[in-house]
Amino acid sequence: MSEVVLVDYGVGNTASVRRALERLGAVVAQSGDPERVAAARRVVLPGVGAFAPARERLAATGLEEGLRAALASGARLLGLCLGFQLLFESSAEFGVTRGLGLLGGRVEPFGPGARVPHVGWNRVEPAGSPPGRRILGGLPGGAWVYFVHSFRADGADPADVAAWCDHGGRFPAAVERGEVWGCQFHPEKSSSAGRAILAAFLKEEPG
Amino acid sequence: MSLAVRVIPCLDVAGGRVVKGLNFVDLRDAGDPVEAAVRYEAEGADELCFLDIAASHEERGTLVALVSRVAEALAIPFTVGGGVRSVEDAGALLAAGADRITVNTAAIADPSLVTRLAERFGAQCVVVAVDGKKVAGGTGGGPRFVASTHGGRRLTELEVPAWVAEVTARGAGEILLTSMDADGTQAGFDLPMLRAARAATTVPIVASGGAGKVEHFPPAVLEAGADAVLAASVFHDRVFTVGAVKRALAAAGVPVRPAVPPGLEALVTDAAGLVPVVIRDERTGDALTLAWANAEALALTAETGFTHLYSRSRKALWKKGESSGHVQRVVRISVDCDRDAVLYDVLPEGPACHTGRRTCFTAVPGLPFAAPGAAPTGPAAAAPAPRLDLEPLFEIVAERQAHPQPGSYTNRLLAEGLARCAQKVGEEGVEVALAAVTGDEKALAGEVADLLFHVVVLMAARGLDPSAVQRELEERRGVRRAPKGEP
Repeated sequence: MSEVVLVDYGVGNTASVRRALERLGAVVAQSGDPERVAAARRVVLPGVGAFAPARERLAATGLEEGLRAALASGARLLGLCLGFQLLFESSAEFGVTRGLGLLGGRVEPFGPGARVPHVGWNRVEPAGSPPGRRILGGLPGGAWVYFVHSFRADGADPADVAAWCDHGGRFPAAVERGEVWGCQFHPEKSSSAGRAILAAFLKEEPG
Repeated sequence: MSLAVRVIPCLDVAGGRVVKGLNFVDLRDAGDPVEAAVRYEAEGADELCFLDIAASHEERGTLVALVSRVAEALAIPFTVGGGVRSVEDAGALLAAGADRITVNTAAIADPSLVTRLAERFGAQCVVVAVDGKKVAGGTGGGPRFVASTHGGRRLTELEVPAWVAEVTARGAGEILLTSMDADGTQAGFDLPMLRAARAATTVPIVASGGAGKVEHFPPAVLEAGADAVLAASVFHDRVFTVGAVKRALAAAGVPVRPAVPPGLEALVTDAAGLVPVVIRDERTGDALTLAWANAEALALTAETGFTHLYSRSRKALWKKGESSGHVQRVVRISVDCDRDAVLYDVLPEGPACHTGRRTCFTAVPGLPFAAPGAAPTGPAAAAPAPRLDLEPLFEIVAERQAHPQPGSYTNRLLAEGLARCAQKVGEEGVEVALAAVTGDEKALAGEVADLLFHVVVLMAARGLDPSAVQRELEERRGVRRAPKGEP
């Protein structure tokens, strides 16, 4: 049975993520304790809301150090939505804020003409080799997943991208760089397609 | 690729129960919102909306408990509204698992509530519900639209476009626009009001009120710019399904997330999204056809109970028997262990093959396998006694009728006419009766074979399709029930 530490840093409702993982048989521990995070093999960084306060909370609580320690010991990290955006170098939401810098690229507003927020079901196109890498769990091209966000990553290293989405231009929907995984969309709200992704996160041993 | 237009069933709840008609046949408890919600997710709903129509202060706890139960069971987003008056009210619902909350009356009473909700939870969590009503006095003599409260009974001074623009500026992430004039009429959405709101905001608009037919949905999107469509009673009362709305939208060129039946998700398809389908005769176990299906064909098959496929040559969805009448009633859909093939077990009403043959497969003669008539090897060897199967007889007679051959007894009979065929059936019937009381087993088998052959010829002469007999037999056995939900 897979144990997952769900990082609790007071940013948004994490109940849906916890329930979705539990339905797949995972044992989920919700924790704001940096040492607990550092010792985990699988970590989920959720998040809904604004970038800057979330970033400050991660730094102020010591959870950032916990996350870095977990990754250094070979743990797998899954960032979801805002947790995904935090993986990048910086965000331009309400002034530029530095991110965790685990991935190259910046979080920027959508281009002109795209309806914002980007709310609803959109299709993702698997990228990399094999297409969709490990994170997409073998989902076919054009699978539908659920997004809710107003900013999107830009300038990511294409080698890190596991799936693209298109909303007023192409942007990374899912990333995988070693054990740093992330989804801009909400797998816990994406019905069967989301289950495939969370199951992939739980499946193999990290490393 | 583009964002799908969302189809949102709305459930009216009070005291933690669904309060309007819910006619799902297989719900154990028609009043249980959780069971209904799960059923809607399985049907392909993109999102759900729960509106607490009682919304009394004493019942807040009941609503929060309901939201928690729904969140436990659902893997699609859902919005909750009714009686949200403060940041604390909204916080309790979001903490219980709601993805978004809607505010209406409280926002009209104090527009700053929208700002505070957006600042606290983010714009994506805040849906402002606007109940618009048509009043006289628009520019050029047309109507204008004002926001109302209390189920449309109290009009406000707020013009819908101005109000929509204001809540957008205050941080609303979506507008749920209900026409109180159209609501309940089932005469279609109020397109002029939707257009007026569309021109006033850039955030998504959910069209609500008035849907009565699937044809009502595409214009709300294509002519009035809605990003999502919401309906309540037409889904609850099973007037049509979420899948039917999605097909109507897709047919009109609107992008939708196809409704995939539960259990048929995440199939391994080819680049065109197709999966091979093996079709098998439920009665005989014979393979009938190998064909292809896309998600929509699978959804239609599951929903209607009739074989639907995708034609690679015509690049189109089709229902088996649509033009020939030789439909196939599906009794079971199975998925291959690698999820890369699907099996339909069917009760065919006529030939499977376009050539008029019962099955699309014809044995290749002359190959060095078991000699014809020899006992088969393998699993089938355990049952050496052959089953009586009239299908080959029907095929041969149909073949002769279509392509007469010189010297054929069948063709001679058919040429002599219906009366002669009928007379032969009478004679053979008497011979069967005689053999039964005087002859041995072999003689009786021979006479029965003669009778069956002549019955088949008589049916061909009269043009009676074997499926009519099959249907009759099934009705007697009580197999066949009234078809449900035929398109």
